Amino acid sequence: MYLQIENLQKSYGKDESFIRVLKGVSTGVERGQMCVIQGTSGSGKSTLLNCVGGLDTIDSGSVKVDGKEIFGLKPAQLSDYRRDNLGFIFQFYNLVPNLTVKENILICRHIAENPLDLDDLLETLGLTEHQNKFPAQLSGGQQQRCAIARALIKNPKLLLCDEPTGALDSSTSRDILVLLEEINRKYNTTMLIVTHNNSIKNMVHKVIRLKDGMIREEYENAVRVPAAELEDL
Amino acid sequence: MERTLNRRLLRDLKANFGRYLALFLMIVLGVYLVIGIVGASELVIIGTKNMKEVNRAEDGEFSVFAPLPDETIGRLTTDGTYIEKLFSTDLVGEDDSTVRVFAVRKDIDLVVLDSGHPAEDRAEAVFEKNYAKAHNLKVGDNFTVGGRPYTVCGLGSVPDYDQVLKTFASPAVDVDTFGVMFVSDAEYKDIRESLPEKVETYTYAYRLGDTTDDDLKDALSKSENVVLLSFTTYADNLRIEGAAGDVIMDKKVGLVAGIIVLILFAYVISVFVLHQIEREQSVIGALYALGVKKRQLMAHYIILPTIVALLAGVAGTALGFSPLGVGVMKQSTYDYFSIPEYEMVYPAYLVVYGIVIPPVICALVNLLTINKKLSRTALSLLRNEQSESNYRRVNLKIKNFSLLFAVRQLIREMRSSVTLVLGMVITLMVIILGINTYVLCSRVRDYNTEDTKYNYMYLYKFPDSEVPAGGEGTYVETLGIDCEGYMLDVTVIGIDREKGSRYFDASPEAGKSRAVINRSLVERFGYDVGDKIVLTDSAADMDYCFTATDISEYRVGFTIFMDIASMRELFGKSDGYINAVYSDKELGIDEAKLYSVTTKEEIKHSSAVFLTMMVPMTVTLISAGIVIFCVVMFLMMAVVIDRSTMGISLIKIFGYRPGEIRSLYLNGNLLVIAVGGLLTIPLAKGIIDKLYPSFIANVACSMDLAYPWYYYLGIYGCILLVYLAVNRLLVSKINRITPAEILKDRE
Repeated sequence: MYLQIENLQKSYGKDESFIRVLKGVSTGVERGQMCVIQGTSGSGKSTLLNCVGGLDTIDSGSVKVDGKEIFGLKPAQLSDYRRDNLGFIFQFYNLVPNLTVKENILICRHIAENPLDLDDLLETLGLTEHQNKFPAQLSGGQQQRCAIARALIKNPKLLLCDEPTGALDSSTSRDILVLLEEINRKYNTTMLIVTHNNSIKNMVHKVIRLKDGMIREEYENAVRVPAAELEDL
Repeated sequence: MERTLNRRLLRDLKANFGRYLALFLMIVLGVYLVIGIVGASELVIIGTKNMKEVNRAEDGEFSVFAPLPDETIGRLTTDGTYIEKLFSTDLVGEDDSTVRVFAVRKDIDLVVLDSGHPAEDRAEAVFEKNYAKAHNLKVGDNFTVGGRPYTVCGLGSVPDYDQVLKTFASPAVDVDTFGVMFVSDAEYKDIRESLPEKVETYTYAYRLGDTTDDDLKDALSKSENVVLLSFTTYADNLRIEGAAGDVIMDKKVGLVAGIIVLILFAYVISVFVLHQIEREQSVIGALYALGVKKRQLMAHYIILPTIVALLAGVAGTALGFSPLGVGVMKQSTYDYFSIPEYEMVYPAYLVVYGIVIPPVICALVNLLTINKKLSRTALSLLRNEQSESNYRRVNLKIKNFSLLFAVRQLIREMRSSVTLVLGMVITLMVIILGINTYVLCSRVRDYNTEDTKYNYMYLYKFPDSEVPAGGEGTYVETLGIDCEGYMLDVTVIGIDREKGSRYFDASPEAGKSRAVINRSLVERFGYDVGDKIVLTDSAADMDYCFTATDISEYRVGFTIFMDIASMRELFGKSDGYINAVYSDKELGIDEAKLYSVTTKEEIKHSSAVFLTMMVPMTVTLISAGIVIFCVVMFLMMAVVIDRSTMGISLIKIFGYRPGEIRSLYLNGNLLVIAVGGLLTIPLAKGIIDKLYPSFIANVACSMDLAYPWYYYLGIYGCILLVYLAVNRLLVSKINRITPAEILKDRE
């Protein structure tokens, strides 16, 4: 198992404002699998993603990535963990506004040990002609492709996507999902995708459904629908 | 609606407590600084003015060789002029100090008592308060003067000895060696009768009726059997209103500090408010979209910073007028000058400055900023759209990523950087104002000590042509030079071109309009060799024009040196005329012939007094300036770092290490501060140096404001230290925030 989560617990606040967000989540994702985490607002899906990404602390339990426990790592070690293993894609892109497309991607290439070829990646993501543009000069889809390129340039083993199509229209969403599918195939990248969108579950290998901080449903798709054929995006 | 909205205010205050506290502190300190300095000056100026009616201050005074006959006084007072004799005699106190004894005054220059009662009994005496303090005398104590025992019955001050100078030529007040006391008429008569006649000084004080000073002087000069020794008007009397004159410099420095602080308030508040509004942009957009009116939004956003500014203004004003403000600032004036305990004054403009201006600035800046923001559409605000100019779309061809990023960051943060640097200039001006005052005073002390080569200076009351053995005789005149409306003394010293001078390094050329000018005149008025200098003889109402032929490095006051023969010819004196003698050793000249004797020690002492008196203001300016600088740096850096928080968190998520984050985001700030410091120190220094001459317009002294190199290094080092401390404080705050929180906040 590439990603192994055991009895993960996470809470926020104290006294009256105390809230337990994850109540003992246990699951796993194989290397090269695309996994969707679904759930309503407040179900704990983004918190789970943040805990796996080392962006948030864990109360108890265990998160192992490629056999390495990340619970209890110090901030500097967590930083190295993210640097060596992870790529992030956010709903609102989080591009640096005063950097061009190419420069935004260079942020992550700068710290990668074995980065992918920049020109190849730009070509794959259809960004070659936009590489010298600033984020504000791009459409939402182009911005998200730039964010994906930035996440992929490090050639990460695990890609964490938080609502990657949440801010996009249906046609652009499809383009982005096709892209993610291609990347998964081409680079064998393990992906954890948090989404509200019910259609996306059909294109991935595994689906986890959270409710009130617990796993309510967990299954693997016997047959996957290609992203290009997804409906109701 | 407003009530619900305004519930956010306390929460906002709590969430941004550090920043509001910094804003509060900056305003409190700024207002305290200005009100402390200017309030203390106003206390003395207004107090002196108001006291004139109480103490019946003279319009002038004159000394004569022998007492005026009654009929002469009768003739001089027919126009309603009041003349009262203020005869005095100098006696030796039991600790060898000199005590000038006066009879109780009747209706002019009255003693204002701080404690006790006027001298009624023969064995009672009222002592001048500072002399009493220096000699540890309290009401009820006994003290022997001229061999006669007295009981101290009162302590007080008189307007004609506001500056207790032994003579008009005395370089400074020295209450250890000289003071004045007042005894009953009968006692004074008794003292006078027991002493030889020549030791009494026949001075008369007058208050003018339907005449002028000049007419009175004229009438006196034309009176038969009257030998007029001196005639000094109220304005020309160094002993009168010394304190009020002295604090003019403090007031000017305080007012300029006030203007700087005001600019600082407006500037920092606008940066503060602008930043708050930018952070709240999407909230404003949402409220605007929900139908909240512009007026309601404005009122909501104005209320908190304005209340903070108002409270800070009130606190600063209260502190400024308290014993910690005016009380501390006035102390040096009270220690040196002999003035009554004036009632506290609260000039309206200072109260307005302290209490009204800060909230008004705050409200205005808010109004303008929010109004500008609300001119955009609600959707644009909701989307948190940035104007294109914010990002300056420059394509850079830099290969090195770190350098490329740093340059991009620099371009992006250009506005914040300029803001930060401007804030540095303004606050540095307050600090440099204080340092300049210290440097000026310490230089005046040093130059006066170093450039005074003689040990004794004798000024003759009755000019002579004989020079005592061991002395260097010369002719000295005093003219005036106009400095921004103040007539400042310029000493003209005659130098024998053949013999030269042992004490003055000047080689004047022959000629009635040729003179060597001293370095102080060059520093203050920018004169150079070949320039023409106009000096005024106020008494004779005549102007003299001199051409500067050389510059002497002598820096004691304003001085010009002339060929003594040409000088005598110019002022109509006979050959061999001298009225001053300089020497290394005491010459034993008959005191009756002398107007004054000044020793080098006295000059050293008086120069040190100048520095001592300025210490409270200097310390207040520098220390308050430093604290204000730290607070402003904190507020400005908070804005700069806030703007980088998202970026820092983002690259943290990508796995950047602290060192890499520093080099990408924070080292640029260090560069801005490092380069900014190099630019702002000379800029602030240049601005204050340009303003400085007007602060000392009423003081005849050199103006060497150059700092030694280590001052600049010290200021620069302090700037970097403050930056590092503030940066550490703010960055540690960022470090405590988890990247997840930042992302959540963003979304």
